[in-house]
Amino acid sequence: MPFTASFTVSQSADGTQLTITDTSNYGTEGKGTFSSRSLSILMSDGNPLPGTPVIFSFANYPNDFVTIPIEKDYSLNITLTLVSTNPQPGSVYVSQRIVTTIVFSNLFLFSICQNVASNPSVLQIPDFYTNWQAAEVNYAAALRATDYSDQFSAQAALNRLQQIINNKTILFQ
Amino acid sequence: MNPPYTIAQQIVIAKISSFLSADANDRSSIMQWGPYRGDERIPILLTMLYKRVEWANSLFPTSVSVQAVSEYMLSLCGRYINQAVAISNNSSGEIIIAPGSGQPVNLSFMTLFWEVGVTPGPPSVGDTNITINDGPAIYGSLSVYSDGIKLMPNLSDQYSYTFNITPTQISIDFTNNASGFYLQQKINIEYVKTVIL
Repeated sequence: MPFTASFTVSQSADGTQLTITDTSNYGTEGKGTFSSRSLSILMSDGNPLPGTPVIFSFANYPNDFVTIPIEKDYSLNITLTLVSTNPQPGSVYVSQRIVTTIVFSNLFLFSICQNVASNPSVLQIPDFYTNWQAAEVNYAAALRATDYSDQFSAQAALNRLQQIINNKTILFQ
Repeated sequence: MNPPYTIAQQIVIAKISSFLSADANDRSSIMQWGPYRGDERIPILLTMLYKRVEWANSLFPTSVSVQAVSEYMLSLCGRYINQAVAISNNSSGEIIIAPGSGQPVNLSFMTLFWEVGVTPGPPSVGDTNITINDGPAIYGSLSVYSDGIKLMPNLSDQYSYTFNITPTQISIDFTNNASGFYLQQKINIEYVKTVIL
């Protein structure tokens, strides 16, 4: 069976930790057959996510995962690259995809739900409902753009949602 | 007191109630001019709430605040709760037994469409019949449309059709159709067939 590079991404329940795990099938081509492993985590402006390692070496990361602190949601272009010393036909040594983190956005949207549930009369506040809808629409837009691997649009939607989050005391009172 | 439904059940009820309330809003606003006008925001409110409750419940299933939001969401379902529960309980479908074979079957609703001479398919320009190798179709479930107009079967005084259904085939002969199908004629055929489980 050919080797296929792959990875998974998870975010902690409070959103602050992003964990990327190398899930490549090293049973077919052992780690000893690779001269290097690197991870590229780029934001939509093309710059690396602050604090991300460029070298994701087997020696420094023997458990095949790396945890990165984040302070808000991002749409990220993540690429895992392996360099084989003995490349095999049919094997794939690079895995890339667009990943959008969502926990901060979800926590914010859930806080609105809590606000409404604890005091339903807030729905009568002018523009409360409209602003809530705008936040939801941008959240959905970020996910949909991610489905289409459109990192720029996903990040643009997250930025609009972030604007709402930053101004929540004005928009939701 | 234990709540009447678990959070997972409340999410299902909210999802169904969202559609039911949207449907009720449409009916009251378009057809009745509203002796009852519910809050038109309910369908969207339910959607926004159940998405977040679903997410939060997956991460914090024992959280009191998730429970509180979920119960508020259930309260918005209001008069749709009973109907939503009934729909939810039947969502797995009832078992249908084919009377001929005695076997349990599913029903499959088939819709075929061709624009004659444009989309590939059995009807070609000039043809007067269509044979579909599919089945077993349920006798009486066949509907045939030409350019969006439903044709009535077995009529001699207008554009019509006769049909024969076997376990593996549906054949339709178009009558009063002397010159056959014309270019870009839109033929739409619908039927229900049984699928053995």
